[in-house]
Amino acid sequence: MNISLLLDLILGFGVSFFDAQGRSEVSDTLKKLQMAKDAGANVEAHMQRIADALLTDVPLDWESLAAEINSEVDEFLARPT
Amino acid sequence: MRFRKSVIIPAMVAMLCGLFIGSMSGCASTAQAYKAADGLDETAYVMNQHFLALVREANTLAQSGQLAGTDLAKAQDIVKAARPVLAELSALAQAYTAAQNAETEEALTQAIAAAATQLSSLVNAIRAAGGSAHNGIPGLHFAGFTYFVMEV
Repeated sequence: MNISLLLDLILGFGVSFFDAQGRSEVSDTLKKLQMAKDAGANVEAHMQRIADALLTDVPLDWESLAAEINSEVDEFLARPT
Repeated sequence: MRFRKSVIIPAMVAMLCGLFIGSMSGCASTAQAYKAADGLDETAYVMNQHFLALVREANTLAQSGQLAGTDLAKAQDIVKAARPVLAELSALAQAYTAAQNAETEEALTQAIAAAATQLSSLVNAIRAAGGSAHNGIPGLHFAGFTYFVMEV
């Protein structure tokens, strides 16, 4: 079985189990772990698309990339601390 | 046999990029993207894509409340500092693609080293905030990377 899938199952079960037990501090921690794992998976999925594009010699689109970076960075820097 | 500096520098960058990829644990696709980069301009492109993905991840973590308070402020400072470095890297990569000569090559090589340091800081900030375990690039590797490239 895929390790990532197994971890998803364990985390999913853990969240439901500890929620049902009323142990919200444990289930909150597991939820955070789940979100961190998902965020990591997003980076990996993004980089996989880039790897695939480079291998098929797709021309580098610097303009779109700059626009995406600016949009994402602006959003991040505008977040109140 | 004596090699020209213009040949040695890209070879060093390629080798050190290999070391940097090797230092990343549990991030197969990221390593694959760096490996797929053919030449300095594509390496610069992958670095910019990596920066985009990391800032997106930071946004996701901030949205979920995992990155907040002083950790968020620190990450914002790092992103603020990294932004012009990555933008310059992008400009130099395009200049290098348009006119490949020793001058553009050296400028791009140094920009890659500077961007590597910024990416390392951002990865470490995200990890410190309890982010994902992927892209475990020890800052030390990047410090060494930068120093080595600058010295060549």
